[in-house]
Amino acid sequence: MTLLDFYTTVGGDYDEAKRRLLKDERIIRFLLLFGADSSMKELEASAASGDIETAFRAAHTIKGVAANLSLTKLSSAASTLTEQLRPRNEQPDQALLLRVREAHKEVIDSLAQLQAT
Amino acid sequence: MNKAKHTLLIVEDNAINREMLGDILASDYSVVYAENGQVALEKMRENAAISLVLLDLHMPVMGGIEVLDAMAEDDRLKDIPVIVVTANDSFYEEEECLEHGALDFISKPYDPAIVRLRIGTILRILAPMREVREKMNLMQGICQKVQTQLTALEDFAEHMDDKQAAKSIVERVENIFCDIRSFK
Repeated sequence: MTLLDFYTTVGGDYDEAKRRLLKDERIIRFLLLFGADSSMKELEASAASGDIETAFRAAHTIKGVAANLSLTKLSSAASTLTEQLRPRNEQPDQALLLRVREAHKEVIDSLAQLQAT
Repeated sequence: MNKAKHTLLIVEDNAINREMLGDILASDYSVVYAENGQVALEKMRENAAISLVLLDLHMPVMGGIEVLDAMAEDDRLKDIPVIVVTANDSFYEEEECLEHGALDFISKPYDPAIVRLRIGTILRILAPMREVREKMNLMQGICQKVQTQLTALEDFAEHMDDKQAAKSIVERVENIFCDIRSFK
């Protein structure tokens, strides 16, 4: 799998990532860091425990990191969830959380394929 | 502008975002990091060399708005320029940051070139003020020295019949004027 294939699969923008990070090596380095990032686990744990503030921060972090890596589909899903949580007066919407979970899983699974090649 | 003189503080709880921003800036600046607002304030108070802060908003322990408010209340920190860097979709958040004292606001995803240019612009604009502040601190030190010497002169004035005392007075006055002349 090439980096372009990876971005196409996960609904990201390789050209945008390349424009901002300049080198494939740099993109891959940060994608690998993303693979080890704990924000999704924090989101799931806080959503399960009813900790709305932590859930908001975790969703917001995923949104920002994904945006910086041009993982557009994941960033968009996290952004929608972030805005739903922003008033801090209701639990995470399960449908929105599912979108983030699925987009995140897609990135992680594709990253494994990228690393394997 | 000599970029090597400037130290930037990156305040960001996520390691990837910290490293990404540091990556962009490390070749031009000295960079220090803080993972939340509380650590950021400690670092600013410990390190007078910090010229500018890049500040995330939503962090555990202490968030960005609290940091801005704390900096505004602290004479040591209130003049340090802050650029807020955050994933943002609302004008409200940007407005809030600027109202609380941030000088600029950058949304993620950011363009590295834009980040560098905005930092460079702020540092360039504020450089004369920084220089004036340093001169004022130096002048304050000299004025304190002058005051100390003048106080001593008053004591010696009581012993004007004593030639040794008179000679000391002359030497002290000469020292005062040397200090004033050395101030540029």
